[in-house]
Amino acid sequence: MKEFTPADASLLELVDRLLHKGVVLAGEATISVAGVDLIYLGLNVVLAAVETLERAERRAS
Amino acid sequence: MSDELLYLYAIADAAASGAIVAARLTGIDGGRVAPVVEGRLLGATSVVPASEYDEAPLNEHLQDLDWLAPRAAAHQDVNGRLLEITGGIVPLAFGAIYRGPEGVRTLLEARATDFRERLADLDGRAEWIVSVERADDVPAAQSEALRQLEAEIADAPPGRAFLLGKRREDVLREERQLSDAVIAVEALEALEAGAERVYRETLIDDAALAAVARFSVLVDRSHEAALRDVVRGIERAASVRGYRIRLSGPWPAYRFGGLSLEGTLAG
Repeated sequence: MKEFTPADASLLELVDRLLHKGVVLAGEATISVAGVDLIYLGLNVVLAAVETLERAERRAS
Repeated sequence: MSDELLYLYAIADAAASGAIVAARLTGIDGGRVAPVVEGRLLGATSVVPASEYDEAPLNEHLQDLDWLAPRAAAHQDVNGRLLEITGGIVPLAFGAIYRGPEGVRTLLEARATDFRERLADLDGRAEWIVSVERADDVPAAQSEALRQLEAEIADAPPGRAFLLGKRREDVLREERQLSDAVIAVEALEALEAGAERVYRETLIDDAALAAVARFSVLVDRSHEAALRDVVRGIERAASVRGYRIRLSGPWPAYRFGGLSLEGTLAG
């Protein structure tokens, strides 16, 4: 059995864990990594943050 | 509009606020990690420049791995340290960004009950990744059907040997798929017996990739040695059939922090 810590994680593993998972709010986009593997990016959080921002800005105005 | 934005790493119990300040963690692009407290929750944040992290530049950057790689690593470094400091966090996916602390407070207030339940669920636990992979250096066990086919091929005239060779490829592929499915189910059953929660991840459907199955596993920190024993047991059974096992952790609960509280199994 090979054991790794998160510090040893490959970029793909790291990105898969950090962008595909985590608290999911809505939506996602697909990008190509090095033209080989497809991974799914959690733009969801970005979109959700934008919604929150818009609400905050409406309140402020 | 401010030229600074607030990057949000994770949610934790507000009681950890002092410990987070004392730890003086360095976040993405060198920003100091600071708690934003609302009620009994906090958001761990650091300041990032709007020129890089506003919606348009961020979406552009997300497709640039040279830009993303060190920042994803920094995101995980912070969450890894927060996990050790607090004993339990709800980690956010990369790229949760707010105009300022008010946006973070709004989020914490709006989802307070949900976040508190998730934190209670994750407290004292960490996430591990168990991957079952084909080992190229270990030949898969040869079935009786294949041995017979190979004997027939050896004795057959060229035309028939060619057709039998095709047949052999089909049988090999089918046997490998069956063997993959069996090992995945055995690993799942062993993990379910040894871990608190198990989630079977969806894999990219690509025959060239070595991974046969991947599981996210949530275990109490005090049971990590027991998890290693379970994984070693899986490997003992798997290695003779041409597979190896990779164990990675402890991770903050990126998978389980984001799942619905009822949903433990899928995929």
